[in-house]
Amino acid sequence: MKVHTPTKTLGEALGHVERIVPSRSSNPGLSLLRIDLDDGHMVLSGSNLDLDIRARVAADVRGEGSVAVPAAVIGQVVRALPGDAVELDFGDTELEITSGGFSTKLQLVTLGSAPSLTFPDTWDGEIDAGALASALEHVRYAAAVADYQAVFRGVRLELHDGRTRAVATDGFRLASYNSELTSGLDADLLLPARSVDELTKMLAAGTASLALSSGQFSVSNGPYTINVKLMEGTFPDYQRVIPSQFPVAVTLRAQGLAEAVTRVAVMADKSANHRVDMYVKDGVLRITAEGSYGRAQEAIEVSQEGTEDEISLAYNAKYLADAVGPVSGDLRLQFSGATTPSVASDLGDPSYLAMVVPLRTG
Amino acid sequence: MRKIVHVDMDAFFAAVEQRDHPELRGLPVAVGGAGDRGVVMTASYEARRYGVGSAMPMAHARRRCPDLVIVPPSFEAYHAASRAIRSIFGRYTDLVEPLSLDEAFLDVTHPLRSPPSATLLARAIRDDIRRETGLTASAGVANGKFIAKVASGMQKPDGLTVVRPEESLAFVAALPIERFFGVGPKTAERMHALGIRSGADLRERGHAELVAHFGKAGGFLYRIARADDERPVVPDRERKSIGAERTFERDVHDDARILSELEKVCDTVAERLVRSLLAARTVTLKVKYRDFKVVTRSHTPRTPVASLDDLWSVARSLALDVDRPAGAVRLVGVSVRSLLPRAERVVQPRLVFDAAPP
Repeated sequence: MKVHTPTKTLGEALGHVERIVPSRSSNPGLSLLRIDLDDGHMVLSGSNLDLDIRARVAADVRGEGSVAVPAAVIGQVVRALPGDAVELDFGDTELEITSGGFSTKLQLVTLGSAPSLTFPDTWDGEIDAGALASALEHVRYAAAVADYQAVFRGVRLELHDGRTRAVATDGFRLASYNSELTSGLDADLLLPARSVDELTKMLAAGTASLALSSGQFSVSNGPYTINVKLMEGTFPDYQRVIPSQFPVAVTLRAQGLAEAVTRVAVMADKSANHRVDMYVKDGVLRITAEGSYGRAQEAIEVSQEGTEDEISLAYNAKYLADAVGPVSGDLRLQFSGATTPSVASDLGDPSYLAMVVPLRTG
Repeated sequence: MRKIVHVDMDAFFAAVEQRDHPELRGLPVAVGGAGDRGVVMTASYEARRYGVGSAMPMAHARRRCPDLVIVPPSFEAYHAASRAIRSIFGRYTDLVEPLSLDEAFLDVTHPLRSPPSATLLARAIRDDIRRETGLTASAGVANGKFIAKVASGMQKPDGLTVVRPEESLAFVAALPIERFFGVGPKTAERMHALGIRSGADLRERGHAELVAHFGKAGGFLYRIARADDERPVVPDRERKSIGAERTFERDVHDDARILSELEKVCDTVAERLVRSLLAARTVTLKVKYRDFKVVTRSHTPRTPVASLDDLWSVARSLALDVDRPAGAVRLVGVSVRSLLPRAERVVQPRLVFDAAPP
């Protein structure tokens, strides 16, 4: 069994797999990478239990068979290879890797120790890969990082006829991306946010094939296929909490606001929810922050509308910056009140909507 | 003859902000929360000219003074200034009774150091405060607490008012009745109805008559009108509770009226709580019936009470819980205890998924 391939091609595929496969695990089999040579293909696969990944590597393959190696070790070796091409020579107990003047012999691991993974043969639907990635990337930030209620660590993906919506919330803010993408599926899924990160990194151009089986959502795009283990739980009824009355609304350049918030928030008190205060009046939005190191303020001219002349509120600077982040052009910021959720939307892309609850102070 | 000094910092919280942030000097400044429910904790003298006053809702204050600069409270700075002031007091006498962070009675009958004259001593204290904290204080000097306190307010800001013992009676006689301790708008109205408009009027009334009309407070006013105020300055009085109550002129049956009076009582207590930079663990409601039976109910919410909203929500639910067996109510009171220093609270509220949108 021998394989010839450009070092870069193998490195890229290993990079994706290595990110997922844990380098250390209480279940040692989980840190293994499985390599299958079959019918002129080389296929790498691995898993972290939440996510399985399979990568096909374009290569010149002679022979067939399957082996397992520690993913972290082969990853390290391949990253450091000196030559543009690499030769893999599979022995009975060792894998010899040669590139340029370098060669190494890596111990093989019993194949039975590696997790047994199944990827779908047939697909239930397909979707524009780049558009799916963009929908997920728009909302991912709003999912919780640390453990709170499990559903807050997930991203909800609603796939229906002519409508694809991604939603995430950590209970304090919410982001939603509602597009007219067609997928051929009809399901509401809850994907672990960490798996969403890998999914979006893997999705490139073209079409992604989708399959749904019990507790698992599979996506295949280009050389990669991944199985995402779905989360259980009821996602909150988020539509109901989106306010509809906005006494004050402003329009401004998203980038200008994001930069101002970042600048001013340097002075914000991290122990006090990273508070920045905002005051809108007479077409000027003022952001101020004050903490132990001093105070900062910035005024931005905005186009202001609404039934009220002014509003004064406070936000967690990070939440505000996150909500503005996905907007590239003009941003619309609508205030429902000083203590009720504010809504941010993208004037150039009506699919995106973000909601942030202001801080309660005093 | 005792010598009492009452020292009261001028627009304390606002003055600290103006001292620490020079760009605020000369501007109308209100310290407090900027949100819809924010309340003015202290207004600078510039803001007071527009009619902005303590305890006023911030939205109201902003209407009165559109250029109002709203500054969130910096409790640490106020505490630091307060500690500095108290250490100055401590140089002159051990008998210091703090009323709040920015106000205290000092008994300087036998001061720890010169000058022996209470007037010069009050001047020295004010000079020390100005030099060491960059803030100004007003002071009143008299032979009793009541007159000293009224006097400190006579020439604010940055003023010193001395009422010599021989001037005491005339000073009290000239005071409008509203300036007397414990005389709020309601009592003032009843005083007016009785023809009492000044200290002089008050002094003409007999002890029995005042007690009959105003209860225990009447007896106190009788003595105060004679400049007879022997209340001692009690040092280090650790405040254990803050409370207020309201007695109805006529017994009240109407629930709505009782609740609205209760809310006013809560307002008073909450303001004192906030001004003292304290929060409280326990809230007690007191209801006195026509037959003088008293019912009290207490509750200790999970998070300490630190605002009018907090207090009102607890007091209201306690009040709604008290079954009132047809008895008309004579008095409602609210007190808070288990006081603790107040941390500035900045809370990130959650999205409320199970409720309708606003």
